Amino acid sequence: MSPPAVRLQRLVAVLLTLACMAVAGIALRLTENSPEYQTVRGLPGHAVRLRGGAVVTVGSPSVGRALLGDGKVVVRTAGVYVLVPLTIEATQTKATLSEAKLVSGNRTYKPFGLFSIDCPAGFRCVDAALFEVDPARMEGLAIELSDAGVVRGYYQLVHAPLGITAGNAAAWRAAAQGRVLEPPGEPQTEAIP
Amino acid sequence: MTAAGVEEAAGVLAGARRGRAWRLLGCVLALVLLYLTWWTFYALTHTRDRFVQLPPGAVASGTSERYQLVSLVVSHELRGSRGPSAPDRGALWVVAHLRVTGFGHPKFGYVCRLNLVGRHDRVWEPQMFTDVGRNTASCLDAKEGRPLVVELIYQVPAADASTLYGLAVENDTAAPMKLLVP
Repeated sequence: MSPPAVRLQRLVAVLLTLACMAVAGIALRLTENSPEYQTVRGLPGHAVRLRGGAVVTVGSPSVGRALLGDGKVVVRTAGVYVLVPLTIEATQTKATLSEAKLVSGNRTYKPFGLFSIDCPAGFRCVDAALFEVDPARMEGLAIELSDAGVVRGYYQLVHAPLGITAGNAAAWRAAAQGRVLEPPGEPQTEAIP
Repeated sequence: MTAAGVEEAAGVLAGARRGRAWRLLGCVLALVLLYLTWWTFYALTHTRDRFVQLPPGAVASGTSERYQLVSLVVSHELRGSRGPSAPDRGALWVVAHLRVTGFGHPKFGYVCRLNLVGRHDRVWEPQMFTDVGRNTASCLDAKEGRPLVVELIYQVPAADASTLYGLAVENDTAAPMKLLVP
């Protein structure tokens, strides 16, 4: 091979190596910044289907300023309690919702009390998630649900806005006044027909 | 050899080198493809629970227990000292009697909570509590080398009650779990 051809071959090899390094670098940067979950968008009253056959339905929320226990008010809040009904159907194997949170802008509210729903295979489980939120920042509240456990891989996250907007937030605050909510108890289960 | 001959020989040599490089590249790509295919197949077949059904009445060993399924009964009602109890709507009770024989000295005691397996790899865990007052032996009563019959209660959708495969004995390996059949 003539010397110019050898030089050309070496140049091509160097350029190919640089191109491969650039592609690997870009891919690494892209995967570093990508979320470790897939967002599945939902709406109150509309079912969303997840991997493994779990079907999740977020119900219409209720709001109040106090909680009931053994037939009497046991706790009051200066904020607002938001009770979000949840239905999960395990159409294939066992379905689990291990994490719930309410988000609004950069604020995140954890559940008031423990939260976890394990629905056996072939069953429909009806439960609810309870939150205590700042009444001044209710607009845009959305519930986020996932089956992400302590050891988590790439998981799915249900994101469902509760329908509280800047236009109706005052009405929701007014609805909470003097209202007492019953906190979630044991989930109600029945076989899927 | 003339200058033209030398140049021709060098060309032939370079061509042979290029051919060898392409063959090497082909071999490497084939190996990579083979590895990816094998790994995908292994991941698809080993990331879910697998089961193998034993003959009726067979004994299977866990880490510190030997199990034998004595009976597996489906019922509309569960009776105990505190009266009858109906299952959830559309569901049925499944009552399993399991003969457990402990061996060795497990750190956290013997384990009797075997899962019930049905079609499409559906799995049900035994109920932690039933409020009907069933006076049956507990796994906590198990003694080394002395067989004990314990009761496990499950709730399954009525549609699955006729296609139950058995109770799964877990092991600490990637091998399929053994399914006990009465």
